[in-house]
Amino acid sequence: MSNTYHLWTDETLMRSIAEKNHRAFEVLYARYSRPVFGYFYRMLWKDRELANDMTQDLFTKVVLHADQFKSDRPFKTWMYSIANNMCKNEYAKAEVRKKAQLNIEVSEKNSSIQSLDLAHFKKQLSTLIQQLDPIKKETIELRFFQELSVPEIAVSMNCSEGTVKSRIFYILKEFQKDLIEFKDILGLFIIISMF
Amino acid sequence: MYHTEDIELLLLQKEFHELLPEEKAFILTHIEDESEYNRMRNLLFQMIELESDDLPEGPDDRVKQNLDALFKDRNKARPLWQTFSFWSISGIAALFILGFFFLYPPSAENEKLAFAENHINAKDTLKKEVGIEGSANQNPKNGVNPVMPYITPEVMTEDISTTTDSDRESIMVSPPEDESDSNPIAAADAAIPSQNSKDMESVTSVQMTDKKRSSAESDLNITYSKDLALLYPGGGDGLVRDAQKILGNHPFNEQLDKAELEIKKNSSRVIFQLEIDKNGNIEKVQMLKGRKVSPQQQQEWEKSLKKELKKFNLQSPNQAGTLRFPVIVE
Repeated sequence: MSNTYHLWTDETLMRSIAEKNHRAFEVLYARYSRPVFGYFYRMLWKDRELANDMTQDLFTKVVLHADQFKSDRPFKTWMYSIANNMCKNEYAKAEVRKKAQLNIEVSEKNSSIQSLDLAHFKKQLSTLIQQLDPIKKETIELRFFQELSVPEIAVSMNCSEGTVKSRIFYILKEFQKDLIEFKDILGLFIIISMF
Repeated sequence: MYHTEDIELLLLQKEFHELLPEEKAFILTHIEDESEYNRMRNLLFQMIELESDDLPEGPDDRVKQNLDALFKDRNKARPLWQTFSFWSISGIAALFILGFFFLYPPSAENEKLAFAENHINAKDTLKKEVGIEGSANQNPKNGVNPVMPYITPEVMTEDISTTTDSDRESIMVSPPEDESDSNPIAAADAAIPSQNSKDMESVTSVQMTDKKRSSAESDLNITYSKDLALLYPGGGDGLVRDAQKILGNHPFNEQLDKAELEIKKNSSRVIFQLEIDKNGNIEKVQMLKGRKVSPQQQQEWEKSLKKELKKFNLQSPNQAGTLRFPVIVE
């Protein structure tokens, strides 16, 4: 039976965790620890230690409240809802730190604006994502990094699917303008993609 | 009909030249031209590919270790004091107690009643008595007591709540017919006042020759000799109170309660005799009379009683004698 744990759905694993099955928890942790850590890492100013702490806190909640999880709801959206709230709390607690971090990133942007290579483009794009307001950043994070579907993001963020899609479109449009300096690189991508 | 929400899907699925005319028309209402479309499209792909660029491998190992420890700890049984039900019950109990004291604030009179109620069960069919008899070689040097003659037990009745030192000093006991030396059981029996069940249920008293008061409520009768009362810390009151306290809570009583039916069959008195040396130490506890029990049972009772009666502070100078505990079974 233990060999089939990896085939279990998230919801089945959660039911088993509620019954204090440690193996089920290990499988769920293996499945989500890295994505969740990445989520916190990017959402919380790329602070590795903070991301570690938040990952631990999130899985602590999963363990302690496993019996409260309703299996008619997808585990992934439940978990990211909790993660989203944790990030909001962290933003509220560390407003000063966030501002300081953003100031650093802006200065980095100014210093690298003349560089038109791919590495700098990616760094700039990453910086722009970091500078987004929490709701837009959450949307981008869940859509592109956690690879949640639009309906899943809508449930996690408690909004409509249309809202999620609109946010993504306007973020892309905004970024495209902010990254106009890299238009040659973006054009190069087109050439590369053609071959 | 298209909405802005659908642009992402078009960007992902189609290049600009692949768009249908109506799709192209819709796109151009939101995007300036083909070049912007292509930039946005490539930006979208770049964002999808951005994930692995600067992301650490995953959380530190300590995170997993801490979570494993938490999981194991969660599976352990929680101590009682950590449970919700414990605090709920404790809280309710505390409210009841506080409510009781709020409604019935303590007073001196209530405390006296509480003392009697704590140690005496009026419905208890077992009637306990304490008889103390023996010689007390009083030593005037220690200033505790004037020279006292050898005194054999005298029946006294005294209300424990009203006895004073002056009362006790005024009590001069005349030597009774002494049959205790020759027959301790008979002496103990004699020390037990003849009482019917009504008497037993109504009073806690120490019998005296010159007056009889029986206002306290108890079925525990205690008899002691005056010399011992004078030597006992706290006098007669202290002796009676301590005896009540010890006997009322003594596990011996519980044992007797359990054996009550059997005792009733025999309908007899059970009398224990306690021998005290001059230093007040308990030397021997012996069942003098009572229903037939196994030697082992008897030994257990005696041992238990001796252990409990060590709490009885009888270490008055030169005090010696015997203390008897008759238990009447009706």
